[in-house]
Amino acid sequence: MLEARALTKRYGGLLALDKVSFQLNRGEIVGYLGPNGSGKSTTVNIVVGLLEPSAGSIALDGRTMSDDPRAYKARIGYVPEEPYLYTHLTATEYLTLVGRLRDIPEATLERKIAKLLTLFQLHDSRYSTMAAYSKGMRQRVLLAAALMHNPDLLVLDEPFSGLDVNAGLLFRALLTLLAADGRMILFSTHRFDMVEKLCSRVVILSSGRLVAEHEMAAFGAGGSPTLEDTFVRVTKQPDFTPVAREIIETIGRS
Amino acid sequence: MKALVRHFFFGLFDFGVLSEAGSDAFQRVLIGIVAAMLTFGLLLARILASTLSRGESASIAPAPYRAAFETFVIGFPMLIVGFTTLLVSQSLFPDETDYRVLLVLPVSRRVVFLSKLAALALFAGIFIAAAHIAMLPLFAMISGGRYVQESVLTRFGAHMAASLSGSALVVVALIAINGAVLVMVPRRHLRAASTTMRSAMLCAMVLCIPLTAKLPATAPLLAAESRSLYLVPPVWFLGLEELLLGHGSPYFFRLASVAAIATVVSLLVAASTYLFLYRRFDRIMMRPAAASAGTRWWNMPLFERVSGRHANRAAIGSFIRVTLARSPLHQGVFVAVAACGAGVVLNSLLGVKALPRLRRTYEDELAAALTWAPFVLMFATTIALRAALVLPIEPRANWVFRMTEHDTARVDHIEAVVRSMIRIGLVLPLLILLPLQWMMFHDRAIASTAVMLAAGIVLVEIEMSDWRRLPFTCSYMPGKRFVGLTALIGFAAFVVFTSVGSGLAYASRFHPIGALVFLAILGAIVLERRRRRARLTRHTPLLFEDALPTEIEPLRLYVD
Repeated sequence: MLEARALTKRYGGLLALDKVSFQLNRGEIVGYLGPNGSGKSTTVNIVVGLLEPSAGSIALDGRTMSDDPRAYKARIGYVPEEPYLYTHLTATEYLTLVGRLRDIPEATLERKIAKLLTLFQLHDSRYSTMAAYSKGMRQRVLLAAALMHNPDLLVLDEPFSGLDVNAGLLFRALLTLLAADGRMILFSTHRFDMVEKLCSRVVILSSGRLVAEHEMAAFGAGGSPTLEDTFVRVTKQPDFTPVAREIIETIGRS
Repeated sequence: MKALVRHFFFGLFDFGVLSEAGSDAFQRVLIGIVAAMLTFGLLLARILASTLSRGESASIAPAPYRAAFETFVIGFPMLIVGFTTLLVSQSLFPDETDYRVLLVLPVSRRVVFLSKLAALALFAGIFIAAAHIAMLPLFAMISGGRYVQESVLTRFGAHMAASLSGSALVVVALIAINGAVLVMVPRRHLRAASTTMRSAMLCAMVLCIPLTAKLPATAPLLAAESRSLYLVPPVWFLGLEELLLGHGSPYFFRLASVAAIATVVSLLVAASTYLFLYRRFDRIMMRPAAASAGTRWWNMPLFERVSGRHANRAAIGSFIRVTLARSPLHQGVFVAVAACGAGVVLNSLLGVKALPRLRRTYEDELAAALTWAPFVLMFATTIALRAALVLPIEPRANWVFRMTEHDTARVDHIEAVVRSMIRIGLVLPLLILLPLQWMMFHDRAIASTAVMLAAGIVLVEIEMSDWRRLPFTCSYMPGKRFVGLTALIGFAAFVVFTSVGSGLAYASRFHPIGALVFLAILGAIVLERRRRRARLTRHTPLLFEDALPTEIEPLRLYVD
């Protein structure tokens, strides 16, 4: 189980996260929603160990990262929001780099890379550097790199951006099966449709604070508000119709 | 169009690896380079003045000697302009990003290309002007005197016309070469081809530095109207200058003709590639990089197989090799700095002569130069490699290293960097010079080469003692330390390393027992430094964000 306990992060005078606590159980896919600047990426960066919290802690099955950073990081797979990777490497070279950094035995690594490249439909481009890859192809490389070491916790930051329809469907099926296999998946996104299709629970953040946490089954059933209605209400999103009207006024009517 | 020229002009300074603060700092460094050029010009004039005041003026007064100095005055700006154009060669033509971003706006392709050319002309113009202004004091000194027949203005006009043409030829020739590669090489190999071509040109240009410095010594060749000078571009433009001054000897006419032909050919190639790209930009720049049909030697992965014990070390070692092989910036920095060492070695070998006053034969001097050469080359290549490793590539992709960093891995990572320094920075130059060493010293070269390698490893351990970053992963902020201080420390280190090292290598050739003692001492130093480095690495986190050194160092006098 992943447990975030009163996570707080300050950047100088700015409070980016304010005592955020949530849990993620084995076999669960939790949607992590929030408007821009709400603290989603800060939470994700703390969970994967790229940022230190100013206060609070993250524990994976009761052990925090400071207890044993190596063991903690070994259990996490991460797909960042933008496909930041070394584009002068080929997909094979990038996966080899990541696999070695994660101490995967060489023979296993070679076998896994060959198989994953085929399954993610990257085999034909395995000798091209990733500079020539589309965003979707890079996203697939990142997902392969995140899964290669068989992590318990998968942290995904907008993993569907840039994916074509086929790859999107493959990702969805894969995440569902990974959760059924007992892995924990933290899924940070802006897309309500994906959350509704994939997640069992949703956590909503606004201005660095946790403002709602619900089971997905609670939305839309028996006349209760939908996920989108709830999001708009709890994050206090204004009605954008007047703004849209003003934009049209500004550009001039046809 | 003005906004677009401005955009392209500032884009020439953008290498994509510097943070915002780093870019600002880089612009300061460039301004510093211009200032350094002007200072260098004044310094040269001062050196010449002191030469004249020592009563050696007679040696430069007659026409060939003055002409030889003028070749230097023409050649130096050509070299500077060549370096700066090569530095921005990645931006000489509009690229795919320009095409995608600008052509969806109501901007015509013509405006984009003209703006790019204007920005390029502005950039080249600044450096051409700075290099020529730097040479003015020197030109004024060699253009005066009783042997000069023309008025100062006439000489100035002819000289500027010739010298500016020379510098323009360098810019146009580099555009032509880049354009030809861009148009002719398939896109799949374009990156590798342009990287290799750029590094080769950079290396050649650095090796031209000592040759340019020797231009004032070409007077006897000029007097003899040597045909070998047809291979020296600055002399072509000297021919043009002399022709403009009315000294139309057939020799100068032929030199001026070579200058004209070279300029016209370069201009034609550059113009045609620009025109070709202008007309078929979408086909050239947007052509797909076809996926490889099969395994070919040139696109085999450069990550070789390793035994499982040191996976982390292998990861970093392979990452260094691949990045140096494929990244134009990193390869360029490495080649440029290492070529400086090669230039110094070349200069010393070309300058070897007998010194009868000191009872030193030519062979003695050659042996001394060959003993000194490996140390110079090792010093240059290790500095070069360190400089290349400091520069980041895709800094935002470093999360993968940050996510996998831990105490044990960190020691392996830094060890991989040190080993790469030893392989590329020490073993490579020693192997290059080994045939020469063997020819000169025969089997005695083995002992001295072993001592050279051991001394080199000590140097690497000292250079890497405070190394806290993974190669290419940390943001970079240039100019953190006063340049003068860095140069002073570097020069002192160079003198100590090359002189002490040469002494040890020289002694090792004649005393095998001595060689063993030196190896034992150097080995002990290496072991001690490795132990200290490993201890420090285990307890010090890696650096992923470069920062200015804090001006105030807290004394931490409190008790924990």
